[in-house]
Amino acid sequence: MKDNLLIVGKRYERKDAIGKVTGSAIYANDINFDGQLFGGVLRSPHAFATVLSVDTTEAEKIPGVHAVMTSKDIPGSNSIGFVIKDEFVLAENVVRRIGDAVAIVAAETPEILNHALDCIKVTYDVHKPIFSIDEAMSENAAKIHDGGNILMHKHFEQGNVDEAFAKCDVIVENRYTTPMLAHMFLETEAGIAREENGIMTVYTGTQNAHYYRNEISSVLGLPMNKVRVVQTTTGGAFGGKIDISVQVHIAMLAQKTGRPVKMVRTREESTLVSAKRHPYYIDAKTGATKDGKVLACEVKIVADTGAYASCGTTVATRAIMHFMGPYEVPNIRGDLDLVYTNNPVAGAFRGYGVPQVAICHEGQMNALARKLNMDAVEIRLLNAHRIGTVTSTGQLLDDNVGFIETLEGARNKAKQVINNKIIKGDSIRRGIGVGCMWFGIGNTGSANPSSAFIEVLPDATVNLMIGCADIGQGSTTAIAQIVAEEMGLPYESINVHTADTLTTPEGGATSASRQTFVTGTAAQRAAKQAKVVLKKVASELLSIEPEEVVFKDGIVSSITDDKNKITYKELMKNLVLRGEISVGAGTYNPVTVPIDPKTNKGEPYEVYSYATAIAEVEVNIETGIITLINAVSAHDVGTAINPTMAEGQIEGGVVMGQGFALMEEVEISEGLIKNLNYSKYLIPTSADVPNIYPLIIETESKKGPYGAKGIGEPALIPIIPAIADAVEDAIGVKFNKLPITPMDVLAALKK
Amino acid sequence: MEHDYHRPNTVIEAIDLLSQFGENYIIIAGGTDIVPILSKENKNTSKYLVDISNINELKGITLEDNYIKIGALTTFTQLLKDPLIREYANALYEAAYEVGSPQIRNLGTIGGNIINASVAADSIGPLMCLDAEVTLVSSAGSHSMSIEEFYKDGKKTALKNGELLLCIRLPIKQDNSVSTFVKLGKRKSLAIMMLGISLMVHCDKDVCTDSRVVLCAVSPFPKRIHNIEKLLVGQKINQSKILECADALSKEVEKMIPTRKSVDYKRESVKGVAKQAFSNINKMLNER
Amino acid sequence: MCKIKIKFILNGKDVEVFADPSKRLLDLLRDECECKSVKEGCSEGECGACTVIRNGEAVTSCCVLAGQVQGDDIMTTEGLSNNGVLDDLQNAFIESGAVQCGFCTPGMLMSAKALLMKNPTPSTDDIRRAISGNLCRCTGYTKIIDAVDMYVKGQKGGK
Repeated sequence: MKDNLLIVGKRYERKDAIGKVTGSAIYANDINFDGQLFGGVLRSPHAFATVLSVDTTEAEKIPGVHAVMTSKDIPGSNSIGFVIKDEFVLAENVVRRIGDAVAIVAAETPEILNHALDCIKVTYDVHKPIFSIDEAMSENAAKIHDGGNILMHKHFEQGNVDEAFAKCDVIVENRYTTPMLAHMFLETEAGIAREENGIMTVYTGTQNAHYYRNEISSVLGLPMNKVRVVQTTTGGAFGGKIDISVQVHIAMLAQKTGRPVKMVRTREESTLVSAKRHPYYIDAKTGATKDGKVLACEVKIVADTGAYASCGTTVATRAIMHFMGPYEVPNIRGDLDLVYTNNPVAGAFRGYGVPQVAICHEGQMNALARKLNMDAVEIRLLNAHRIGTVTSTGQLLDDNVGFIETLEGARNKAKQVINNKIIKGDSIRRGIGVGCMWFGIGNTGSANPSSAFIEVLPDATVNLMIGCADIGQGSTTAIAQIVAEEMGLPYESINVHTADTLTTPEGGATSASRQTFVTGTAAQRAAKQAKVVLKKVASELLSIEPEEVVFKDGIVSSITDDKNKITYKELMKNLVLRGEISVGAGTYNPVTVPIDPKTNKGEPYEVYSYATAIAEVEVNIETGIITLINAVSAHDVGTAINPTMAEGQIEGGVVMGQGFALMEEVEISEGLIKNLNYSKYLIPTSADVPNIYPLIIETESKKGPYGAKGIGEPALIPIIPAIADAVEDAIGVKFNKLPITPMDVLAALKK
Repeated sequence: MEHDYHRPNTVIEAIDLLSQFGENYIIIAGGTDIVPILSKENKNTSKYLVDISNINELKGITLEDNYIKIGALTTFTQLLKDPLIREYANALYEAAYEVGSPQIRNLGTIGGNIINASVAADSIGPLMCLDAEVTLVSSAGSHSMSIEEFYKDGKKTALKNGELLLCIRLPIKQDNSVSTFVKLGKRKSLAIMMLGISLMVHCDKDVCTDSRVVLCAVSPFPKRIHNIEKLLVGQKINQSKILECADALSKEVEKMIPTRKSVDYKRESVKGVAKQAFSNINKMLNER
Repeated sequence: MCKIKIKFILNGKDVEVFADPSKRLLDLLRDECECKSVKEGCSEGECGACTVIRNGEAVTSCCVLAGQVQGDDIMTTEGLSNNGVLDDLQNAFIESGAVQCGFCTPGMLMSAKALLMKNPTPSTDDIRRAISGNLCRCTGYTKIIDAVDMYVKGQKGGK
């Protein structure tokens, strides 16, 4: 908590908590409109095929069916996609993965809907699908998209790695393989669409209401201001509710039928269709002096983005910026190939490529530490980013770098809580491991602005309108705290209206851990603007200069004499009398400098978050079962706007990281996901979680709202390589492929 | 999906309905296996649903002569609460403790577990090592058989069409016998059994006079491993005997599933599970 | 299809619904009894989001048929607060930061409440086990367990 701040840094209760604990918070599936129809999708069973014909005549005749639509019924554009518009709304001539949408139906009951879907006859010319990256990249491979199968190649280089490797005393080389993972948010994708007052209105869970509006407008051929997307309470997202899911389909069906149309995905459909985490295959080579100074780092990464790009290109761009880790490495070279296959689509998932490269850069650091017989924290302290570091893109970090504090903080906490190597029985081995990360806040070197509107009402309560979608992480609360602090009003007086494209301005995506930093700044600017007229009137009332007016805790006073004051309410009464209105608008786009393709220099992010995790595991060497006992996770967040929420992110991130490292993997066979539900895709239960010690590290910063950075994605990352390191410490085997399952442990011990 | 739903109040009503419905019925007790399947089915084929959850004759745990009689509708939570189970059927207690989750334990019935007979069913191995008997009833009358007999086919249970599982009977061994169940799962709750061992041992002073060794989740149904039972009889259960049994179990696994993908893991991990099971047994014997 | 009269107690009130008995309790509560707090997360009893209390026990309502609750006593999250006044357990969830996206929250409250109805002074391990059938992807469970702990301490201390 920082001095002089009254509201920022305090553990306020969430604005949306009451609705959630009473069950009255409205999620998309909780909404029902009179006359609503049920919408559903007919999906391709083939991974790669040409659609020869779609015969909907029988389905259309079924009583209770109100619409059957195919690509020929699309009023506007059939191309959608968050970064690249390489996806279609409904298949026109080719399907590229199992689950591609071919037709949609609206019917009066779910039973009629399912019957109609069964009656649509589709003929396909099935092609040999491409499931392996090698095959996709080969010269004679069939083209999955017209532009070829290599969607993107990224190269990032500084210094001279080959010369540097020649000078290294130690070099470690490893291949890291990270799994395809599923979000498994508790609420599946759902939405309901209906025309209201001439505006196509879609109520749905989302990470970006404005993006959905834009796609619906494009597909339906409607002006953007004739489309409204309202974010309903969203039951988890983690990157999986960025892409369009049900929204365009229900809007089309509602437009066609003139009735409200509701679509709710089953768990199986959700897992089958939504984008996944990219599996990354990373060949890494890292070299250091005998004292542990890292001189060179090289990676070759291949990533399978599946049938469509989704967020694959921006994930790759972020990964290539972060692969060297939070360390001063003078010579680096990274190459990344992003490849199309007929596998399930990979896109945005918490961390956005950084967990994958962190597994690599931390695996390499730990390998160096072992080879040099150096302490895992010491070797990192030697190389760590600090104030004054110039990054691999030539960016000077002159503000807000708390990495070393996270290393020391985690180490100190671990000393207190981790009982070193108590052996419980001769089949149990204990181990301790370290993992770190850095994470640039905001989109990588590209625009991602947010905006906010504010109005101070005559009774000194406030309406704050932000496009920012709260997906459970607490942005609504954090930004309310920022505005309350800026306005000098109690937290309770700020009412936040969010993510409704009719009434809230653009907020960008709730991704890149950006909302506190970007919407927080925009909201702070809006508040500052609203204060202009307040200062003017107050200065007249108090007979002081506008710059001398201070707002704090509902009181407006003189900075030189705190007895010269009025209440906010009195000030507002005076505003009304003078015919003045207090409103403000604010926008913010992070300050970045695009990377120069020749020099590789630039400033891809305005600020970076840092973290260190220390994990303690127990491995049963007879059954291979790995238990996570303790997890320390220290995060440099600049300023924690709400420490309770920051801790909540860290704790949730540790457990998601536990799943990543030890339990989770999407199983695919011939392009088909086999584990579609919670019974087969395992995430940790309460019985599995360790003792978690979240540490919030605060640093001084001139950037961000009150110095805040971001934590949503960082929270997941450092524990993953820490667990892998701890397992190696326990049983002497380095696992470069995650998840580490009991089968892997026993197989490795047998060797 | 709309089905033809019936809720008989007595066993007689139930078996009467079953005989009427031919092969076209589904019995619902706790619902944890059946209701999700029914709700996900897309087809509009209607079935006869026979909800037996209200039949009191199928409920309750009682002492009858030298048997513990467990009604088929006994839930896992009820098994955990009953002092008779804790005292005389520890393996079953331990199995009930590990089943699914609190909600599944509150709903799931031992009868459902036995009839559904999934590979990973937790209660069957312990029932086998406790010499359980099942009583089945239909409009043709009732009959009992050992639980081993019930699963003898190896692929399907001995339940005939029109039959209802009435109860399970566990003989009470008034002597110094202890039992345990160890389950290997990928996580600590809502865990599907990868492999399990249920052991029963009776000792006279230090020497084992009778034993049951049941291997679970390797074959479709749990399997008693007679040759390992013989290894134990007349012996002290010391470290070297435990290791011998563990190795023998490992060889059994290899024999049972030589070509299965999981054979390498199960062949090795069964030794660890066996050691844990024997450690439990020895602890209980020392406490008595 | 045959609808039947299903009589039960819902959140302390006698209720009579005319419904298809082969419908899931989850759908009965959401569609015919205005209990939207009961959430569908997986439809197979694996996530606990649909947990309600039935005759004092936590059960996954996606596994129960409507016909099976004849004469039963059912509680949903709607039954926790009284005329808009939150239960101490709900307040503890808010104060502890146990709520993030909120989708698992009603089920968690029900599992916790069922535990507290049987054992008013559970240990932390008891709490952990009581919610081990409720999945959460946001919180890591820590503050949910803290919330129930806080509630228990608050009851002991006499609020």
